[in-house]
Amino acid sequence: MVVLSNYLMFSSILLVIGITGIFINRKNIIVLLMCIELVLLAVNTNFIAFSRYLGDYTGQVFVFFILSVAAVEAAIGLAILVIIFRNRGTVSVRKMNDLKG
Amino acid sequence: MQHISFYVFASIAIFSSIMVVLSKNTVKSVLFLILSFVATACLWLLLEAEFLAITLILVYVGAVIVLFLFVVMMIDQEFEIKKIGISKYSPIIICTSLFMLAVLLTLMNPYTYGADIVMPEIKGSGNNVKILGTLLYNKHLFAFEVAGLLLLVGMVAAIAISFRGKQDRLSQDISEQISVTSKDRLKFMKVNKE
Repeated sequence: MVVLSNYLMFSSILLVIGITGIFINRKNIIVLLMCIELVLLAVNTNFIAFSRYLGDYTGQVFVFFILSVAAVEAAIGLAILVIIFRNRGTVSVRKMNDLKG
Repeated sequence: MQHISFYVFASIAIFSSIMVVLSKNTVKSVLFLILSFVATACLWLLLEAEFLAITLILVYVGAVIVLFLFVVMMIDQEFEIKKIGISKYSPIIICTSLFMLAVLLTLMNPYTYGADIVMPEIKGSGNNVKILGTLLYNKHLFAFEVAGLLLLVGMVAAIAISFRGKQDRLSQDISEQISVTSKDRLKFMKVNKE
């Protein structure tokens, strides 16, 4: 029998994997954007689990809005990435050190 | 049965998100992300959120991740992969992540804050689309309209960021054409009678 804490633990693990991916990523901005999507997926799962177990459908409506915001953010992030690649010829995170003192 | 399918889908999702982070090839990372989204959509189906599960696969996997794949294919990466092994920040990063995970799992375990409730039987929960539609269009109508506006703004922003302007295209400049006088276009010349 699956209780609520199963889903909450699952979404916490997914969240921490996404945050760790943002930390240890050095080679590629695209993997960074994908880890942000993983974090948003964990939060969505959390909302839907609570919405089912507490009987309130507002959680699912909020997931709707989070999905649309995440899609817009991914699109604009990729547009910025394309411009960075156009101007520098690389998407390595290591080489984005213009502000380094 | 529900117990087994929860553990199967959860383990597929967690395994493939670890492989997103650790994979050396970017295309494989994107494909593992697709797998983790599909496994999470199956979990959402277990939670009886059918509309959102299908929306996740159609919209998120079908549009956003395809966009990621386009950009990955377009960007020609030099292979930095061999040089990146264990960076010198790795112990601190792993300690921080394990600490975060320990704190979150301590909060979420079924014995502390009463999260061991079983799935309740909701009357009339068969019509997920109808209930969501009733909520979305009556109570949260303003937020719905703002979300549409946000999508429009995002589209305009993405085009405005990456548009290069007309480079080799021939086109007309209407204001220049309207402000032309006859002095610019006609010239009277005297031709001698020969």
